[in-house]
Amino acid sequence: MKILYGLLIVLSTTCVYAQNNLGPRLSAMADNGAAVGDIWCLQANPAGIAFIAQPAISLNYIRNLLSEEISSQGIVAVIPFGKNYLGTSFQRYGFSAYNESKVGFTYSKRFGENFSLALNGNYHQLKISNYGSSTGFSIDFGVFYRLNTSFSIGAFTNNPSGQKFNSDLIAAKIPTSFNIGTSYLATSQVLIATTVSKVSDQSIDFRFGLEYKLYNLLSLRGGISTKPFKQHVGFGLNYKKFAMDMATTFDTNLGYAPQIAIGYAL
Amino acid sequence: MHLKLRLDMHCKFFTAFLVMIGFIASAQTPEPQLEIKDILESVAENLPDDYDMTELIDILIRYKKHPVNLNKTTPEELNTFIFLSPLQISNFFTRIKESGNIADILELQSIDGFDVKTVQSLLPFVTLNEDTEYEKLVLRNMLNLGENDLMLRFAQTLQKQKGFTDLPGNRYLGSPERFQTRYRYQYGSIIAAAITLDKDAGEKFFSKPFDFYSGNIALSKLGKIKKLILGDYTMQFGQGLTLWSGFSFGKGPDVTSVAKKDLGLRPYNSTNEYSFFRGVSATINLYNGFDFTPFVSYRNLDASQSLDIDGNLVQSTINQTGLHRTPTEIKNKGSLSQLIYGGVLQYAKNELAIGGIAYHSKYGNSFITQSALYDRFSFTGNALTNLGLYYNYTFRNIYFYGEGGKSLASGSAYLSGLLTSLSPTVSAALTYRNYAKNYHNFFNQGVSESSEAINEKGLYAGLNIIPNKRWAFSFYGDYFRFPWLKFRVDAPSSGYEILSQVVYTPNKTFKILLRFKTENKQQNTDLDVPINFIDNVKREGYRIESNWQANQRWRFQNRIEVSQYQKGEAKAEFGYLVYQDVDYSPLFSKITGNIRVAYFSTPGYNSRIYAYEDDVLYSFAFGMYSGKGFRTYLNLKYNLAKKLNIWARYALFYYRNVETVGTYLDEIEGNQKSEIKLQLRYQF
Repeated sequence: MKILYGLLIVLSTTCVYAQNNLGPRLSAMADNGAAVGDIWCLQANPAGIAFIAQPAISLNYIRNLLSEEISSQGIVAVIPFGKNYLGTSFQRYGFSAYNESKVGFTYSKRFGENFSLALNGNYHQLKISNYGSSTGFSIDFGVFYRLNTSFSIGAFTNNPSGQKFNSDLIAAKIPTSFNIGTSYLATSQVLIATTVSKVSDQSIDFRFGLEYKLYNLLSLRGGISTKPFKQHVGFGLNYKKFAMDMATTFDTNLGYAPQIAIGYAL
Repeated sequence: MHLKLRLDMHCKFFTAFLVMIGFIASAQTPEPQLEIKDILESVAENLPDDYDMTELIDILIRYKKHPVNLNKTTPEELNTFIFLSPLQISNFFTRIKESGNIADILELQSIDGFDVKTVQSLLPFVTLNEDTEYEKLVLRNMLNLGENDLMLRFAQTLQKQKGFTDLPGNRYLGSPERFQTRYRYQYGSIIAAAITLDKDAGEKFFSKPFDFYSGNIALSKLGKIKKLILGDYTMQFGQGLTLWSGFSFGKGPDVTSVAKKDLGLRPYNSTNEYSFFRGVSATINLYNGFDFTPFVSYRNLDASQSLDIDGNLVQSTINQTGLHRTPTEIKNKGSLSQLIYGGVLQYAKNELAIGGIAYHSKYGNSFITQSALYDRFSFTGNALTNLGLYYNYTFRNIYFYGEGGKSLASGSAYLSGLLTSLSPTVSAALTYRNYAKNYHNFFNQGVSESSEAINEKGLYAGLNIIPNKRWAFSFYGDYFRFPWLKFRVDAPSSGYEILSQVVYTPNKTFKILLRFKTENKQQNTDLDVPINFIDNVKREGYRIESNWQANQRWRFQNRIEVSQYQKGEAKAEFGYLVYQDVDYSPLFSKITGNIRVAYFSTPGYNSRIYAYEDDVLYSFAFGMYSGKGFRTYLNLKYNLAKKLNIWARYALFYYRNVETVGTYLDEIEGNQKSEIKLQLRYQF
């Protein structure tokens, strides 16, 4: 069985890597992290963290129902210093015989009230039992612009320089991606977000997500990714400084992958 | 006399052309049909290929003449407005309930979900005045105030089709003309009667005047009896899983159209020869919000039959085309009797409607299992009992709806969904459906990806965003699974469909539309292998369309559509269609018309493109553009007198690099296919 999972992961390696762990809020909105301000932007458009008012931290756990063993964990944290923002992220994916991990450090700067830029450096590690391990390094850029109170636009790229793992034994790439997105706050209750994303060697993915704040306490979310086709759904609970979000994605081939995150903002 | 009339007609036609060419618009009768056309165009995309729009058009024309009093209307009446969503209708009544009658028509804009476009579409058909009713049942009134409407339609393909030649075996025994006649009488909203006659191309005309006869008498508002119909009628209840005859809306750019609006019992006036009931039915108000609709229907259907081992006639399917042209079709005509009886009990009050359906069908001969493996769960036997339960309920800004259906001794089907206006600018739709492979129902029109709402599970999610009056976005995704085999799919399969559309209307005279649609399904491979495996099949469509109005007289529409078809690893196939429409309809002109010139090129049938075409009586037809060539048509309407209108249509397909057009008995020698149509309508 393990061989099967390993095979699955190796076959879908580029996919796996492209799918950064975006936390349940952005995941439920069809991985829309290009133009939505959220702490999990650290894993998508890092410039999105420049609109977070307080230091914040969030922890996430994803379980793939296809297999009991495969899981993903992530943690992100952001600290603002005036108009400068520092962030860090860590994510791990896989099972005992195979795992990938990534550590990132982000610096983002806001210019005026509506515009921000960010730079993110990642250190990647890939371990496969009986094969050894390999490490790599990559850079992400992001830009975020708020046209007005309801409309935002953002763009980011992962690994534009096409960095690779340093070992010849493991022929895994660090994927390159280009993403552009918009978000539209239709009312104070309804947020709609779209992203167009191109990951190296894959067809262009169009994603569409929606967040509906039913009450201040409770938000409902849903979304659709087109390539590959995925349906996303989730909800979030906000209580004082705590946030708990849950989401699940449904992939036609890989099935359900539910996730949960707990966040705290100072 | 006859000759004189014809001569006279010729003269009129000649004059008509002169008028057209010379731009001499004589100011006489107003042309109120533009707004109807706009509405039909916007909903046409949600309709199936062979939808008969006559009913929709008739309803709108009637409302134009006798506007609906908004302060006296019922949910059932508003349901007949095709462009209103169930949520809008529900919000409308909530508003009336909470703040009383509407004093100014512009108050509509303050109702949740009523955007500017909806209000504009609704305005011509509604009123707040009281004095529109003349509902006393007196014979003199019935003769004086009743409205009569007679319509005659003639159509013919000009080239000779193979079926009309002297073939030895199967051929068309009748003549190539198509005739339709419809007469309707209407007195207020309490009495209506209609007769429809139809003869399709290839059917015999002289031995028996018409192949298809249909008619009914409908009475409404007779105290406790809300409606009573004798003759041909249709029934539409709930979400269409249990009892729905006639066609219905499905998935489309207006994402709210997945929630069906049932119209209950209605008289049948279409020329479709299959989807109706024949007998008697009534809707009776029992008590308060309780309505009961009992019905009984007896008909003879067409079926191809054979003898089983005991010597009994049996059939596997019903033939729904209504065509009786060849010896075989004539032999099969009316060979299967169908008796249906049952009832619908509905309770509707405020935000809640709930209904139960039960009926039994009895067939003259038995159905047998079909030979194909994918069809092995189809209905067998000669008696079937169907049960159903449906509901809709509005809670705050959410409209919930659903239905469950069960065929006794076999499978069940259910559907559940919601519409919600998340904000004044955003509305969303969500529907889950689950139809068993052995759900047996001859009147099932549930929302589905397949042509039949069986053997399917699916989740549909859609969003309409109208941020202001210039922009409108819609988007939906539908994921579906077919747990059992299907025609040309030898394994359980799945797929999805995505549509996104943007409409930009910067001002009243210009509109541009962009649309992208993709559909991914699975189908048996084309490769010659011992056991079929299934390949992914992708169909995509890209559309750009612009509408602009040069002045009061001229309107233009251009469209470019590109289609893509790809199966498995084979090379993708691309086709395209480009057309220009010109519409001439001055405000007070006797003559109006429109023309299309199109060029299309598709490498094969798989990348074919569909587009709506204008037809007589501002009706529409689906045009299929496949192969390579030109398409053009011209429609003209001339008001001969105030109540007498005549339409003429000429349409031509001109294919390049082909020697024949059409297949089998419809085959035509040469590379052209053209058709003429004439229609006369007299309202008195």
